Amino acid sequence: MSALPRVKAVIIGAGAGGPIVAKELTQAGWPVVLLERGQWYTANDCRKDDLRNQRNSTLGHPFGPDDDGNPRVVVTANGQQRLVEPSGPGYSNNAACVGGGTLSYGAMAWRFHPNDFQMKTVYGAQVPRAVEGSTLADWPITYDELEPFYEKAEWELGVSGDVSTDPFHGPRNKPLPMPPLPPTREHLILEKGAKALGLHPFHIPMLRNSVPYNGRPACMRCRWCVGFACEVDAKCGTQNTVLPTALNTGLLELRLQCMVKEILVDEHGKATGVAYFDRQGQLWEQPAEHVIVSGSAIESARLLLNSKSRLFPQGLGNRYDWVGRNLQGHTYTGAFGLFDQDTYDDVGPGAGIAICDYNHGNPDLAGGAMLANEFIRLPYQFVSGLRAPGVPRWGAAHKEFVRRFYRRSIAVQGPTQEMPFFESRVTVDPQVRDKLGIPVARLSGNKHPHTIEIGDAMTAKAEAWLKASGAIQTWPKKAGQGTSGGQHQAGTCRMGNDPRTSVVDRWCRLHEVENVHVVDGSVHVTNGGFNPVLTIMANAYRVAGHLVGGAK
Amino acid sequence: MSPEQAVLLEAWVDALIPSDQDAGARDAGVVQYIDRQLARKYKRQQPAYREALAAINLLAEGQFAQITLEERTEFLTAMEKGEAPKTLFPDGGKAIFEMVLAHTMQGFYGSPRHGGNKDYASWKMIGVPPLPVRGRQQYEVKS
Ligand SMILES: Cc1cc2nc3c(=O)[nH]c(=O)nc-3n(C[C@H](O)[C@H](O)[C@H](O)COP(=O)(O)OP(=O)(O)OC[C@H]3O[C@@H](n4cnc5c(N)ncnc54)[C@H](O)[C@@H]3O)c2cc1C
Ligand code: SF4
Repeated sequence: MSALPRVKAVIIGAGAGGPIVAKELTQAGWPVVLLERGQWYTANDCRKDDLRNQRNSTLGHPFGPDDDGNPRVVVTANGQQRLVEPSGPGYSNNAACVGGGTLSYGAMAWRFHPNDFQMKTVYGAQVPRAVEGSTLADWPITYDELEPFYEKAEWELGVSGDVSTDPFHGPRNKPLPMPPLPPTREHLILEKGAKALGLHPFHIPMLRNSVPYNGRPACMRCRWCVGFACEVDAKCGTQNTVLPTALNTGLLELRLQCMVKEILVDEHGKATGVAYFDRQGQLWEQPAEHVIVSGSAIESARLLLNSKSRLFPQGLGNRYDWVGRNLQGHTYTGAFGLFDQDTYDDVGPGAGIAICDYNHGNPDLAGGAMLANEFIRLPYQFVSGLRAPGVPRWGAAHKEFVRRFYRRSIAVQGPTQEMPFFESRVTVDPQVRDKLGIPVARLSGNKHPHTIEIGDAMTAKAEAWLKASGAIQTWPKKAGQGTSGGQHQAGTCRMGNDPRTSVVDRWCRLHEVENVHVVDGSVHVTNGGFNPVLTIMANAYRVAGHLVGGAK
Repeated sequence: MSPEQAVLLEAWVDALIPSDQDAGARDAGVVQYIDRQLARKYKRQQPAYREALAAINLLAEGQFAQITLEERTEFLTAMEKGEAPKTLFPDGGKAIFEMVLAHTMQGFYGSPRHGGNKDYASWKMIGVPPLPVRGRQQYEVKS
């Protein structure tokens, strides 16, 4: 293994978190190397392919990781093990490319609710069965501490929307930088229904240009948004915002197709850098003063667990067996509705209206979910996911159903707050290795029963909303059991004050190793009833700010 | 896929999405889609298809491609329920029925770039124009 010149910091992963840290550090004058296992895709790589995208990977996915040689092992509730390839069901894939999930995401830009940081305090006594058997806890930081960094993410990456009619959000200092996109037909139909029920509908905040912003154009409202890269670059990911800024400092070296194998430590228990394979499969050592792990919840846990040494025989940061624990995601529940009028107007991205009436304050439930209309369902998605009970799956009646209702249906759903579960976890598989010989992630465990309970309650709310909006028929989309994770994966390197029950401290530094930080969804103690990316971004700004302020 | 196999498969997918005033699976090139994927993503399913096509033809006494839509529908309904003769389909036909159904839906509703959904047949049926309108920024209600 040949060693390269030492740098001030090495960052692993160019997804949501890594590039923000890279920007903050390089702007503070630090020379930084950013290692990303995937490639840098451009608008030309954006094929509008219903069967091959990051949301529906029936025939594979365009933005990685490669199906070849990158399996995971998934253990089902009854103990059966399956080898899963990245585009297969249960893999919990985000993406492996510059921008990570933010290249192809739906771009909802939620701030968590203040209560989402205090779940144990708010619900511990009130809903004891949510705590029973779960690892529900408060974050070591509050909403107020994160607020300035939410704002920074909103303005630096660009968020459009209008939350002024949502009375449930936490205090904010500044409005969103861009107005919302004009409402779609679906939006107007649902707005009326929500108001009739006395709910508080509003325009979803989105990391998407509604007007020209930051030198990029406005959204042209196409049908291929979630799961796809944006053809006109109107979606704001890290690859077209903070990363170019970081590169412009001249202090960032971005190395693509480089897979980090392990974090290296010296005999005093300090990290000295990382070992990684380049695209030719050659092993390099990148020495660094600081190591920042941003590989997303599953891969970050895998990397720490694979970083075994004499001082850390269970993996880095894992003295108390908490690395990889509490794997969470979001149980998506809601409802479908059919209408006797056209609801579809082919105006992207589709999702636009939400309510936060049910995130908290549901009697006898520890949390809830934001509910919103779904992104445009491409025809194949519609057929594979949306069928009224009793409608045949094939034949003339199937065809008639699709013909009649594709343009007359609405889906309302939301990310249900999950109760963290100790047994839901990432380990490294004792046998299976990837094509580079690195032990792969193994996902196991189940969802906490209260998570399912909350989800079921949300389906009823969604059905009522659809009915009030004029649906002639509705039916629920319930939560299934099974391992958690998915594209909203979080929780595997919990942030906390007690080293025995968490992996990183309030500044996201490993309790056990002073110069290794974890900056992605892994550190979330709980994952809110909201899509997580803006919280990951805000926290990355917070941690990076502390790092350049606090370290010499 | 041999021409004989293609004819059998066409009769199969036609029963899953029959032609009416709008194109069905037959017209939309679903067989081309499956044939192409059997050389790529679904390579491992080649033997399953080969056996299933032979079996369903035996079930129809060598006439599967000739019998009526109603008769084909009857055979496929039995397979869906796992009630086809176990001598021909060890599990009563369930697994292969599900597989062909999934592939047919993909070929009919998915992107035409994979060989199916010819001329955007299914999208035309549901009233979705093939290409996005570029430069559209304002919402306008037109019905
Ligand atoms: C289709 C889709 C839609 C989504 N929609 C939304 C939404 O609307 N709102 C929302 O909030 N969230 C959404 N998400 C989720 C969001 O994208 C993720 O929460 C977010 O990207 C996670 O950020 P991260 O930094 O933790 O990880 P990622 O974005 O997954 O980035 C991690 C990066 O690290 C790299 N990496 C990992 N391990 C290594 C290693 N060992 N060596 C080198 N590189 C490595 C990976 O290749 C990857 O690029 C969506 C995701 C997808 C895929
Ligand atoms: S809907 Fe808008 S942001 Fe999304 S891909 Fe299309 S143009 Fe880009």
